[in-house]
Amino acid sequence: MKSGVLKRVLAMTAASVLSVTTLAGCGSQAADTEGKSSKSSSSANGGTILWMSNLSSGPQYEAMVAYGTKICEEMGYNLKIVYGDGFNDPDGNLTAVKNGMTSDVVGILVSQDGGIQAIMDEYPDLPVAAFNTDMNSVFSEDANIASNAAVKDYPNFLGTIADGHINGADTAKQNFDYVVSQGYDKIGVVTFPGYAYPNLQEASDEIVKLCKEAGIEIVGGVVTLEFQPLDESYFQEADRDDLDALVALCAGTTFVYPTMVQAKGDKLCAADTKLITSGFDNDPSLVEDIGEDGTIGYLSISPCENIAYGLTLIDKAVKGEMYDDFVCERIDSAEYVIDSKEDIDNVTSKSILANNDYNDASVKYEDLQACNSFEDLKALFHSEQVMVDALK
Amino acid sequence: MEAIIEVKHIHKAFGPTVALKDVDIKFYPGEIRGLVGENGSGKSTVTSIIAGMQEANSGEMFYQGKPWKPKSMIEAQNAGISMILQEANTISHVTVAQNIFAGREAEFSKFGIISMSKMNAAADELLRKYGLEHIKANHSIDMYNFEDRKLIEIVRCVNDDTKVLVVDETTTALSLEGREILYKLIHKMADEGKTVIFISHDMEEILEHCTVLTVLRDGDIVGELNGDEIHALAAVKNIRYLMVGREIGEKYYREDYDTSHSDEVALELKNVSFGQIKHFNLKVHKGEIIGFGGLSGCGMHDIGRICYGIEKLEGGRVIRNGMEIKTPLQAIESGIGYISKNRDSEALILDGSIQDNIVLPSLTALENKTYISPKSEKAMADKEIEAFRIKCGSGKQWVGTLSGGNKQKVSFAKWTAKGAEVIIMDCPTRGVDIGVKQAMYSLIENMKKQGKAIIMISEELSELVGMADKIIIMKDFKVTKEFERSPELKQTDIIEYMI
Amino acid sequence: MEEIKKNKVSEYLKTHINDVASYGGLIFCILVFTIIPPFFGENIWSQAKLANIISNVIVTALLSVGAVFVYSLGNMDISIGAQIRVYAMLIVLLGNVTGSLLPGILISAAIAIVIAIINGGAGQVLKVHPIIPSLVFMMILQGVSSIAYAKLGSRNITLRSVDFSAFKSTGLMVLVLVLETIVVSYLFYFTKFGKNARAIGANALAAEQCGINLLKFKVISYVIMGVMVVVAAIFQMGYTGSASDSTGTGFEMNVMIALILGGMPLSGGMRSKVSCAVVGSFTYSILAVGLPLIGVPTNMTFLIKSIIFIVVVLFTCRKKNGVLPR
Repeated sequence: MKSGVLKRVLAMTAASVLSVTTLAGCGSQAADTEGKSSKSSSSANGGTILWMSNLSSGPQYEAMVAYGTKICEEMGYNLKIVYGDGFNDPDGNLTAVKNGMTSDVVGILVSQDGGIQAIMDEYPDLPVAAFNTDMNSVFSEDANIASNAAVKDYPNFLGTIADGHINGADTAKQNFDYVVSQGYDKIGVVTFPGYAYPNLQEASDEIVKLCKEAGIEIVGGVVTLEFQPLDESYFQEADRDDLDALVALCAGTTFVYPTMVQAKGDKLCAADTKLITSGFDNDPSLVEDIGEDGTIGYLSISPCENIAYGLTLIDKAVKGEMYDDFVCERIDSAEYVIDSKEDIDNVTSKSILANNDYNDASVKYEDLQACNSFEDLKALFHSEQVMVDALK
Repeated sequence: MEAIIEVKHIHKAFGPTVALKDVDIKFYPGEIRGLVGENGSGKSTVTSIIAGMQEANSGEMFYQGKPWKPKSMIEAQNAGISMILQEANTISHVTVAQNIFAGREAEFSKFGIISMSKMNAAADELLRKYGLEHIKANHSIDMYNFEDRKLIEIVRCVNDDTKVLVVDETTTALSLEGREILYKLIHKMADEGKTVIFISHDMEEILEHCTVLTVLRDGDIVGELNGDEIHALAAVKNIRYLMVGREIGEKYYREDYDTSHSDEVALELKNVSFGQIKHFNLKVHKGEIIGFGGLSGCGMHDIGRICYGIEKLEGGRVIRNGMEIKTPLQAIESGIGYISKNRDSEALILDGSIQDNIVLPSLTALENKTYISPKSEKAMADKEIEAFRIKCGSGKQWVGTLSGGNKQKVSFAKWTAKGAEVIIMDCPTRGVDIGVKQAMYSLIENMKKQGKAIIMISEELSELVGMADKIIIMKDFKVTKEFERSPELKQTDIIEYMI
Repeated sequence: MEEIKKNKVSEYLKTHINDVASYGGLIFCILVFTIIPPFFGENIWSQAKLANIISNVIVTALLSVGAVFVYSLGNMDISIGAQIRVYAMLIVLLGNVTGSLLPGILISAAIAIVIAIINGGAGQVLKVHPIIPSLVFMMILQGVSSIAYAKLGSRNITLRSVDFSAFKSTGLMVLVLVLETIVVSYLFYFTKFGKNARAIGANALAAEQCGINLLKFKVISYVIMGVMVVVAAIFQMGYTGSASDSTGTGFEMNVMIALILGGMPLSGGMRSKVSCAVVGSFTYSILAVGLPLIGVPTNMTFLIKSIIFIVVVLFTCRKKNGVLPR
């Protein structure tokens, strides 16, 4: 009996040691990203801005957190992060926001669109801005998509800055133009399902149309990935072993690139086939493989500084200083276009993506302050200063 | 002579129940020590503490002169104290050899690879040594029945280094042949100067094989009998007196020889075939006790299950009051009750309270438009607890915490609560001590007087002779002989029809 | 005298260790989240946070209470999440077509009962582990919903013409949960259904020999759960008035976690209690709502929940102690 008690005590001790170490371990890790917000909590008296993130790791996430925290601090807020539902489920998103809600929250920044009406119904007094999402399925009523009240009709909604283009056709055009400029005439196209990303459907329809007009062959037609990485057999089917380029409208660095490297190693894919896609990863071997001689010929990413667009609008709304010319709208993001060795070297050494340093950010708090109108703000996020070339 | 094990002031309690009160006992080399006592008297508790199965609350022990405080049965076994338990303790789905050498695989391994052939050879040799030629080391243990597994367990527990062997009610599981093997083994060990601690409810085997006898009652040692005292004529009576603490009187079994019963048939088996049982016929009348006897695998246990509708018949019918019985539910509804011989696994819900167990078959009767009132449940259970004198704190106590005899009382109580008119009891006094046995027998006698029909299946011939109006002896799934109740009937007359 | 009293207390604690640990977990959480948040300028007893807790707990609690029967059999059903997904979809779709929630609810209930009968019966009739049929249903329903959403061309669908705001009301949530708990408790403690289910879970052989029809009472247990799954699906749908292709993901696990946190033995049997479901789901939800209030970052809450879970399990894990050998 005594040994039973002893065992229980031991088990408890083990559990508490475990908990303390995990807490300490994670605590110090978390301090890198979120410690700043708690540190600055004394100086920030403007309240907290709650960000429902669509990411929870990766270089872009780290940079956004570091940059967003600093901007908030300058504005006089804390930035608090909750994670949206992994499937962008409306209920999951609403629960995430509700659970993270504290009485000092003054505004909500969202990076996912699922359930956003429910969130605004729940918190009608809080200004809500979005970034990194095109809000395609909920922004207005005109689409065929089943949804209720259009988000843009909510008085507290401040619009969004997309991850790339609002219109899929523009995304298609961007990729198509690069294909033409390189003189490719035999390409592959992969995308995500249209029911999940309506604008990718638009993009793939558009690219098919453009290619047909220009006489560029899409070998084997457009292939849809059901959120699974591309399979190597892709290159074995329909003569895809010597494509000039593979256009991945979906997150190609994660879903296509690894397979392509594998296929090249297995001689299933020609060594000079280029990947044209978007997204970023700081895996050294991937970074090495970008540019004229690498597998990834063209990579577009939205600047992490975009978070400041949403934060600025929330700040203005909270302080009652909203721009006179403000209208709730969706805007395209500027694009970091990386298509050379030099570009990627600059990004990995001089941009905020390099080491999450605010000093490397292309948009500073002062730049935001200098904007006197909504037009100024929009212009700032499309100016030369947020382009890759500014890093030179 | 110096004691090999000395137990001093051992105290052990399970919650409010004190199992051992300050017990002192010494065991010597070369003796076969019998421990007797009623259920819950503490005999199993003291041996399980010695063998490392549990720890005492206070007190100390010495083994070969040194302080002894085993943490586990494995530690005890490595030190030379082995214990064979009442329950099955073999590992299923592996071979006999793997069972025998469980935990000792290293002896047969080279560079981490176990040589199965070596292990099998060693196991076969061991089995031969014990006279168990019919068990093959490389066979899966699942091929063997409970008895053979028990024997395999004995082979595993006992080796050259064993100095103390505890045999805890093992013989109930064994047939005559199996018992003989065990008896031979314990005498051989005693001759070699080792110590055997022998626990059994079977007074005859205790008297025949033990050299010293210790009697326990309510966690106390109440007496010790040596050589001559054991073989004295009045020994049994004397021991029973010590165990129970009062004169239990001469009356044990039924004393009348009146085999009269009603002509009304309570249960009938017509031309029943099931498995190896072919075209079996049986009529049980109201107020009649029919006893079934035979060896364990003779088919008599199947008869009990057939009568209760558990088994799907291949032919024939079981009839009560003109209705055919095909499921236990039909059996219960027509007033049949069944007490399985596998008390813990089939008859009782050990995790449930006494009350839950008693009322379970009677729920439909207690129902009032789906509502079952806790009061009516309690009333029913308390009535039976009172009537059976079940030793417990309250009806809420878990059945698993009761002693064997009290558990058996609960499984009887289920059917008296339900008001069953036909009661099938398979090994009703298995693992039950004298005091409870006596109570059971008088209960069964009362049931007969109330006009209930009783089928009593038992491996103990003495209780069949003592209780049944008619004894049906089976062998190889066939009836070999029927005996009417009579004062002249002797066990020896019956045995020849069994084997 | 003192000694005896002390003994009685420790005896009580020993025999009720499960209750102590599970209720203790809830009480501990309530205490911590009552005392600490004020230092951060927060209050878990504010109306908004209470409503938040209720809306957090409602679906899990409704499901767990309904699942008590099945868990008391020693079985579990892992198709719960996929069932919720399909029922929520049906309620929204039919709601948009007919302008009323009732058709969707009735059809869902009919499907739930059919599934329950097969889930409960197949294990007994085919002699397969009862988790297998529920696994099959999980896959079938997932397939059905993914095809349906692909056809709809969207990942989520929203009620348009029907007013569902009633299902967001905290009062209604509490009322339904209380009602369901009362009904299930009545069935579980005061009728044959519950008593037999527990007996089957504790010892199926003994139960059968006491004349309990295993098939019948297993099926009844699953049907009770099936009906409660539909009730939970209504509230799940009512949360945002929508359904999506990921609605219900992981709910079967939430139910299991809640029941274990509440002290339910996974092997079922006589020690199963309805209170396990309520206590467990509240403990789980209070953690989810309370931890952010005391400044714990969201990504840490999983770890803390898991630690609390380990501690409760360590306390409630059953040992063979205290049983008299023979």
